[in-house]
Amino acid sequence: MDETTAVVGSPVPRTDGLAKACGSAQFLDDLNIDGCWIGGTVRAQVPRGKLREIRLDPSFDWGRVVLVTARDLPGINAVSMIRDDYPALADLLISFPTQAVALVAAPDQETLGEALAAVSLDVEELPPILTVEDSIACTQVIWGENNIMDEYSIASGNAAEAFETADLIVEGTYRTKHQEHVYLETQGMAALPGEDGSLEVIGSMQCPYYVHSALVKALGFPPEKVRVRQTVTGGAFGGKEDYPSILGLHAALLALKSGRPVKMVYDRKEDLLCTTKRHPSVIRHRTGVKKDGTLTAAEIDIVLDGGAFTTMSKVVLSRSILHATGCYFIPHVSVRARAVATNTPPNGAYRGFGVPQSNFAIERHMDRIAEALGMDPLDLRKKNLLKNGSSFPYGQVLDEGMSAELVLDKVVEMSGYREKRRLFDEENRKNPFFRKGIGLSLGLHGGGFTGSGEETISGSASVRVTGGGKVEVLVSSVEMGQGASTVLPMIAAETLGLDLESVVHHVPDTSVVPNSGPTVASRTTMYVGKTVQDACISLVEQMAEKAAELEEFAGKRFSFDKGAFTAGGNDRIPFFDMAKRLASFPGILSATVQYRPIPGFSWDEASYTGDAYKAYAWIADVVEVEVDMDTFEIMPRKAYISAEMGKAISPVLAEGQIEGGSLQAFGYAYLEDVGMKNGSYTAAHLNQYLIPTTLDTPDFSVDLQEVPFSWGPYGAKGLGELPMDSGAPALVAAVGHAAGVFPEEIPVAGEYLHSLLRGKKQERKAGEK
Amino acid sequence: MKITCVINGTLRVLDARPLDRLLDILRNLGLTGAKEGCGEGECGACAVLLDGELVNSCMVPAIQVHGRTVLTAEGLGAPENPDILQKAFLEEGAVQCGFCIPGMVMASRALLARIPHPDRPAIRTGLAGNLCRCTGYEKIIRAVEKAAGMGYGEGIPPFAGPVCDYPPEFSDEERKSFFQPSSIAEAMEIRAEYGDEITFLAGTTDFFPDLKNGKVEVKKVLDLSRVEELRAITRKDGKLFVGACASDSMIMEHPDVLSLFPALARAAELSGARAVQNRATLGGNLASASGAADLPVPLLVLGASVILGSLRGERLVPMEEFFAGYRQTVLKNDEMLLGVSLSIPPATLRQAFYKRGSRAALTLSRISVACSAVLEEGTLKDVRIAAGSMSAFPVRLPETEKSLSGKRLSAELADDAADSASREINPRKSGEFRKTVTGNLVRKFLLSLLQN
Ligand SMILES: Cc1cc2nc3c(=O)[nH]c(=O)nc-3n(C[C@H](O)[C@H](O)[C@H](O)COP(=O)(O)OP(=O)(O)OC[C@H]3O[C@@H](n4cnc5c(N)ncnc54)[C@H](O)[C@@H]3O)c2cc1C
Ligand code: FES
Ligand code: FES
Repeated sequence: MDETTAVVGSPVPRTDGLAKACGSAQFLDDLNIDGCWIGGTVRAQVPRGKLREIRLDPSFDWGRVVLVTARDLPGINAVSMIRDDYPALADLLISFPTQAVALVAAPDQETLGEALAAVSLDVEELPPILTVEDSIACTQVIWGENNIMDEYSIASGNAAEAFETADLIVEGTYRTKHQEHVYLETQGMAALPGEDGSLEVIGSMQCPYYVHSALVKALGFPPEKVRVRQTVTGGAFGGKEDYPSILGLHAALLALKSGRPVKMVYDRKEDLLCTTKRHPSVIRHRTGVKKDGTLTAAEIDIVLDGGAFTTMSKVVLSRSILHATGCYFIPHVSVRARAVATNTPPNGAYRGFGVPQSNFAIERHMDRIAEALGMDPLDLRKKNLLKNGSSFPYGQVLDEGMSAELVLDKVVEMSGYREKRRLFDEENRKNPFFRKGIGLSLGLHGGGFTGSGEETISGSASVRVTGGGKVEVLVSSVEMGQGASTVLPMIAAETLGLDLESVVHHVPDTSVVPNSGPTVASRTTMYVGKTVQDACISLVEQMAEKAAELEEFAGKRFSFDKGAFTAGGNDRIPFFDMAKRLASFPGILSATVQYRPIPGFSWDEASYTGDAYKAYAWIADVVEVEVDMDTFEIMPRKAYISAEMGKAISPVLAEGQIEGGSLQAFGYAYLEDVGMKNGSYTAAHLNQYLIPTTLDTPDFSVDLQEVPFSWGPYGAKGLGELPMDSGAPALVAAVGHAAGVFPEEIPVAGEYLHSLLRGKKQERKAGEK
Repeated sequence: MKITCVINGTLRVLDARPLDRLLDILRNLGLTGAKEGCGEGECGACAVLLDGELVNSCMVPAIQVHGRTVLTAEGLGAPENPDILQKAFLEEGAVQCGFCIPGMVMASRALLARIPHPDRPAIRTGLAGNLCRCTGYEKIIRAVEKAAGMGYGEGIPPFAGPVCDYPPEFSDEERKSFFQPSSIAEAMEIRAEYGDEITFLAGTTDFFPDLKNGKVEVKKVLDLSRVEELRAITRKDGKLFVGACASDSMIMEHPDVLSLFPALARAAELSGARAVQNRATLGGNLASASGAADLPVPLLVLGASVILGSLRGERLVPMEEFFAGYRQTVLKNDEMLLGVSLSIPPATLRQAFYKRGSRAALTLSRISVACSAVLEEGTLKDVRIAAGSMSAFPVRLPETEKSLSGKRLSAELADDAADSASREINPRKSGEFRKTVTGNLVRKFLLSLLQN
């Protein structure tokens, strides 16, 4: 434990743990809402077309249910996100197969089922765009003028020239597919109309104020008439960043029209088939290197499949391009990145937010370069690491906290990488049917919003003392499993010198909590935590000041230390005692603070240069796998991970983030595949979209490194997404090592591994002839 | 109907419809610890203990809850007084979003009741049917280790027996379509009367997913859960009889099956995961006639016969002749499956079952292979090979078998057999991959014979 902190860094258990282990935590579908109807959705079924008519079967008694179509929208027909291009309900045009066209609410599941079956659509089908290649070729224009939703480029030095002096140029194209979040609690929202014309929307979500703003725009309601409240959320991983705005709006439309509460909880099938996924990517690398392994120039082309509408694509793409060169310094770089539209369900936020794709490509490409040079992948990496003082392609230079080397050295030591690489080669020669492999990768993740994003949203946090002798933390940042309702109170408790039991995280409710911004971008501990800390400091300052005005303390100057106000001598008044004495000044017992911009950073959006992030967290993975060469099955056995995140406010939770995030990355690497057919996902069940079970999971050894970030709360940087960035390339490298092939796509499913090995066999046979 | 059961220690008499899911019954009682993550057995979020055994409550019908004891996470403890296991989950940091956790806790308890001090692989196996997307499982495994270390498993009382001995009470309307006989004879009468209208309920692990996905139309329901005779596994007159309602768990743990038919035990062990295995029955697996079913594959090479019964009497159908087409069997509309009969093999018979699923657990076979043979002084005899998941139903590979019988076993012969097996099968999808893997697995079996 840290010597200077009592709560921060300590192994206190999470605040919501017991309620969850005892089954008493109430998730949305666990709540009993009086008189609540349930909602369902009629979907387009075709990837692209003109909606001519919504037909209602006259033999069904429509008086038993409520139906909503685009015509019923009082405000704009859009779910407001980054752009307003995503219609709440399809009106004239259908742009993807699972697009919502109409909504139905009914008193029970049976009636709902009958009603949904009694709606049919008259659609004139149009030729769809189903691949990014067709989208770029513009075989049909389905979005804007040329199907390009967003485009960025970054350049440093003079790549074209630098290629000419390279000893070797190595090229590669890397592909990743969709990934589904599989939060165990499916998407669910409920809307409850108030008698006074107000509306409350509750549910499983990451960003209450996103939902709020989407509702206000589409319903045309005044902001104060809409209240959004989060319910206990069973996992999110980015999947409940954008989608709850859609589902919340749907529930709201039905509730307003029926004049009663309406709940919409997707079953797993609807959730799998309709909600957002990680963007598939095609990333091309061309790199100039010297014989000794020094990288000299890189040309990178990133294409993300955005799906039919923008959702988060613009910012996902931005992160993709900013992390394109990974943990390496390359003097001359030119990167282009495009997000393009297809007639497939819109892709959205998923933990890592564009970085897992770029990092897969750069890490695989490093392995390819190592192979081309006959170097060990570790040596090649070590030679080119970013360090304090080296610059990113967008010009940023950081003099502290560039910890690539730290985590890499650590993980190599923990895992015995070098020795095992040699040992496994030997063992594999003896047992060709069952092979072992070891692979490594690095990753980095910029914490918080990109560029001046944090300044733009400028989130607020409040703390207040309650009558019951507790301190409440009021923020819109939600608990979704990651531990915000423990970590933010830990920061407050530490700052106020209290124990954790005295501090609680207030339920995010837009009618009560200030807007601390969305719960995304690994920003909650780093930025919101800092603002909470600032709010605590403001609180004690104003309490000290006011105390001096009290008769009993007249004229004393209080300072605050370790949970008590002191004014020299014997005056030592514990925090809550002082709060009681100040009870008649309620204003004094709460403080709200806005994010205070961190000085010394600048970002230029127009040229895409400058300080993209104020701090980066770093990770290195070594993964060991076994590959059954008879069945082409991959079995991850061991994962060694070292991560540097500034400060682990709660080491137990930090490890949990790393283990859980890494396992998502491993699933991404070899198991998870939504399947695509005519613009729709084919995986409609959890026996088709496969995530790792306990038996698909390696034993984890996790190491936490702390290089405090001067501006973070107790030195913390962002952590949540980091492990998702680096796991896949390490696992794939290990598979490559075991099987003697070079996979350039994920997932490395059995068929793919088989085809790689067959290709190899044929090559070998051809060579023998 | 009215069912009597004990839920978390309280005797309850409940009104329910016979096919209501236990999950909904619990949730309607306000016991919302059991959660729906998939509604088809694939996630374990709804897991509870039924008579002390782990089940997925989304696949248990009310009609089978009568007379039984249900335990949910709420029954173990509350935040004010958690039990050792729940506390271990908290202290080890095993809880994140918490949605999977009540089910995970129940799976852990079921495991520790069976194996009070499991090693890591045993913990992984015991929890393999419970998905968690947050934790990476590491801390969950440590929580189970911690609770085990504190003697949690030893403290679990054994199952105390049925709650009551009288049958459930059906309404007049229900009596016309729901039947719950307690003997085979009674069951056959009902079957004879209603023929094709009958849907049998055994472990309902195929039934509920099919119901959810609109694949069954329920007219009359014949629940076999009270027919004790059908659950028997008995050895008599040189035969082993496995009853139609023997579950995967019973099959994989039965000493006779383990010693005489390890390939069958292995197939049961590799089916689904614990909560499914506790419910899934041999009869259901055969009657569903799914191309991916695991148990028929070893049965094909072990010379099993399926016993079909009706008022007309019993008949024995060789396993090879039991399937009639895609999702079709030779079962007549007055018959029911009583079990399978296996001739006890010579001690020298070597057998194996291999499964290539899509992941390590809780997965249907993409490829499965069963082999058996006798190796006598280096020469192969009685070679039998079967492959599953390739076509409408599992099949034997007679060409490959013929090419091996009577031959001296060698590595070259194993390679040839692999080629032959690849050629002999006709997968509908992913052809090359499946052919190669099938061939490889045949080779693997033969090489394993060479090794000892
Ligand atoms: C999550 C999950 C994983 C699974 N994994 C596997 C796996 O790995 N391998 C595998 O093979 N299967 C698997 N299954 C499928 C299923 O568990 C098995 O097929 C199981 O054996 C079915 O048995 P049951 O008792 O549950 O059948 P039920 O669902 O009760 O019945 C299935 C069918 O058989 C009929 N039937 C049942 N008993 C009789 C009888 N005595 N006479 C005549 N007809 C009868 C019923 O009418 C019904 O049509 C899985 C299922 C789930 C939900
Ligand atoms: S809800 Fe997933 S197994 Fe029952
Ligand atoms: S804790 Fe979230 S799914 Fe397990």
